Amino acid sequence: MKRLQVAALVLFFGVAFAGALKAADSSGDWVGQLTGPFDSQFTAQYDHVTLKAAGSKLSGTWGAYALTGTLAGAKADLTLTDLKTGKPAGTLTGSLAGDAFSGTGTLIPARAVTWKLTRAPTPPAKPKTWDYEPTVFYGTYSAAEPPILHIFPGDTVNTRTIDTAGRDASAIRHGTGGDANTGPFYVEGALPGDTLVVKIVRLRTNRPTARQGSRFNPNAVTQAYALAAQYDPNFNGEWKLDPEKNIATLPPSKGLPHLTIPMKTMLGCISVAPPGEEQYRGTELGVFGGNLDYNDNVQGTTLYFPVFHPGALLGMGDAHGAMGDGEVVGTGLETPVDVTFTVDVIRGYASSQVRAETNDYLISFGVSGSVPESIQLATTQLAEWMKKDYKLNDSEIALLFGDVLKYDITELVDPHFNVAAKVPKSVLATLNK
Amino acid sequence: MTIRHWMKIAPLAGLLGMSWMAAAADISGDWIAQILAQGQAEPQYARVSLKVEGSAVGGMWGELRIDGTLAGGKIDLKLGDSAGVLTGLVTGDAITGTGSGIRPARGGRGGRGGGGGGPVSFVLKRPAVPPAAPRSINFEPTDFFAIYSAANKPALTIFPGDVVHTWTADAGGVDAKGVRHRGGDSNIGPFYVEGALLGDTLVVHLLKVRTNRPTAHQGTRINAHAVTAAYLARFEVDPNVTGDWTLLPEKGIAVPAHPSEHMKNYSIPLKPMLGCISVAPAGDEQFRGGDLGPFGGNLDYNDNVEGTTLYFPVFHAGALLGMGDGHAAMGDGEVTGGALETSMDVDFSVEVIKGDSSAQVRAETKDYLIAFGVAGSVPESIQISTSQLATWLKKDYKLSDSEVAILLASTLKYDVTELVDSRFNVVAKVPKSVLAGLK
Repeated sequence: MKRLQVAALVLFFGVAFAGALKAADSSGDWVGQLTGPFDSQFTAQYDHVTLKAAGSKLSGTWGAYALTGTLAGAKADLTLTDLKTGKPAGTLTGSLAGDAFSGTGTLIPARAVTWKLTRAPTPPAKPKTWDYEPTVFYGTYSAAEPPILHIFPGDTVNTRTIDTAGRDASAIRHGTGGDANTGPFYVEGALPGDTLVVKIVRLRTNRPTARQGSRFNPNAVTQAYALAAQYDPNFNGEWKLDPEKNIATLPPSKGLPHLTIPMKTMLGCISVAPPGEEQYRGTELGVFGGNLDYNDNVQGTTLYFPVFHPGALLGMGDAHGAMGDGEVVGTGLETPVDVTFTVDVIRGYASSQVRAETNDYLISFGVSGSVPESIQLATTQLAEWMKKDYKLNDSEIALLFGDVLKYDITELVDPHFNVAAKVPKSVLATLNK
Repeated sequence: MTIRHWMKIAPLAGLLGMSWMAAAADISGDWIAQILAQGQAEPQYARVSLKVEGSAVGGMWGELRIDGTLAGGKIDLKLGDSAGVLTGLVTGDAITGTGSGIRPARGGRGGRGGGGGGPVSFVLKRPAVPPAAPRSINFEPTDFFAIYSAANKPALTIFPGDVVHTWTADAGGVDAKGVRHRGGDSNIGPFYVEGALLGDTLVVHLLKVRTNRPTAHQGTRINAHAVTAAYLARFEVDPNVTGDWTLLPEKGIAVPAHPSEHMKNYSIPLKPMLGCISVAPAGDEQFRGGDLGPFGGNLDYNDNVEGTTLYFPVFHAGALLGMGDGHAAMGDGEVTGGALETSMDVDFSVEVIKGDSSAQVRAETKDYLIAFGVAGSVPESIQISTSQLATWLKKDYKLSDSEVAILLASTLKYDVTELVDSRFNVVAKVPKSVLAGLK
């Protein structure tokens, strides 16, 4: 705790000092905000802005626009042109007050807007490691959740998650459960339209027990099977976890006197805040991630999230000591975990849904209302990824997928379905980029 | 011949005479019953064992106990639980007759003796005698069938244990030498497996599945079930991407024959598989070669490779095994419609598990027990394959519903195998390492 306070103080003075120095010079990185009739909600549009001041002249970029203009005293006049086409994109006028610009303007096509420029936060001299001890957990995916920690790209966070029922390592219950998440973590520099990169550096169960259900979900078996099944209401689904040996053992039952399975500790939930004012319960999943229940979201996996709000608002929870595909009884081996993760931001690019990368595969998720649609969305997003990063055309992608594509059915039992489409990196390594 | 001499051989003669009489009347032992009920085109079958003691006949007719008599050449049988009454004549190596009651109930399994009523005729024949030792048979296919149907004439009769060395043409019917046979996912066979009856399981061991020519051809457009409509609408065909492959089995890889710039060094590992493997479908059903169902067919599972064992429910006497549509490699779902289509050298052997069968095809690899779920939609395929796997484990490992649920929920894997043909297929599988020691 003490370390945290010191770190926060250092950050505060660091930012204040940097701000004071640069007030005189408008050169540098800014966050641009345009507010206007982009949608019926007048949702603010954010962009990364870079300014270069030479005398009274300003140049630089504003998102996908080139920027030219003047700063005379406190009065700013800015002209935006499309970076790709060179066509006029709008004009902005306003003033610099303290460490922020604000004003009004017109964009093309004709939109009256107000605008703001605020200094991009200055990252620490070198990446930090945070020990974050969660005290609150949130059970609703929403941009309205107040961030509990601000971190910068490159920072590492050591923290922990509670299990799906809200119990921690000491089996103390926090709130009502329902796949409550740790966070949200505000990632400085992440703006809508960017990609948040999260690498799961370490994932380790921190309680020697994990509970799992023992009745099939109706999406996993036929109606006839479900009707005929005679479940034991007293079946003991409390596994013993041995992370040292990396095995989980079920209490003895008549037919399974010594069932031991390998542990593969994973995060069932990992998310950014969903778009706009959308709110979802903890068990939900969508383009923002959430309850993806992918059994390869394990130590060593990197996830790529489309960012919908400034700071991305990363959260995680619902860990499983192991889980079969589809989470067919509605639960994995539910248990709390210690998590270490790092974050990074890819500016100016976002995929339509979450993506991931393991040692062996590039992975694209397809969350939707049905498994067939999930297959289509996952494959399509993976195709778009190949097109962009490997410069392949449609026919080349078709060939590649016809040869080596793999599907994983990850989520059958929650409000939406999820299928992952993936390609082996070993085969991608033979492509000429 | 002296009397003395005669006295020496008289007992022998008597013995011979008695043994001749006994042979004529000795109907003890195993039989296969063919039962034809009124209005049925195809006979039902039952395994029958008779035991004659004096004039009394006991034994089993499927799962029914026999209580009968034998007088002269005439046999009268009552089957247990008042399931049927039969009268027949012993003629040479067969017993033929009529009766009532053993007609299998609708949906019943003939191999188990059946139930239900109505007049029937029957023939009992001795089961085929297997060769002294399993044979190694080189089978050179000359005909290829592109319709899954029990009406296909068997190309070869084999016994459990026999090893067949053969080859398959590609999905278009082209063999290793470039000779074109009937295409349309045509299969070689059907192989009639002696001893396989309706209600049994045919076990097929794929001992060898190897490409036998240096070329393969793949589709280059992505199927509508694999991508969104929006993606497909924007799809731009590059005519320079041909889908022609060069296979390099000595290196274990395949490379494009006419690579585009991006794919100049592109190579993929070979994993030769059989896209089609089948028994004859139930009853009078007929399906095209590209179709799939509980009989197997175009399952397009990329783990149906050398070393894999398949388990088919048997729907007709002899099972009528067929195979074809080899792929040198294939991604999940066969999303380009055609994988690396090529001809194959195939060795296989068969076994029969009597009196037990599953709802659909199952398989076993080194690492997994696998249940297929062919259906009209992917969600239904998931349900069917999971249910079949659960039923399998409950039976073989004596698990309760709760036990099988938690076992699968902690270890289950799915593979999406078929997205682009007449029906969908998803497999559910469980690692054998977890099952080891459970029995």
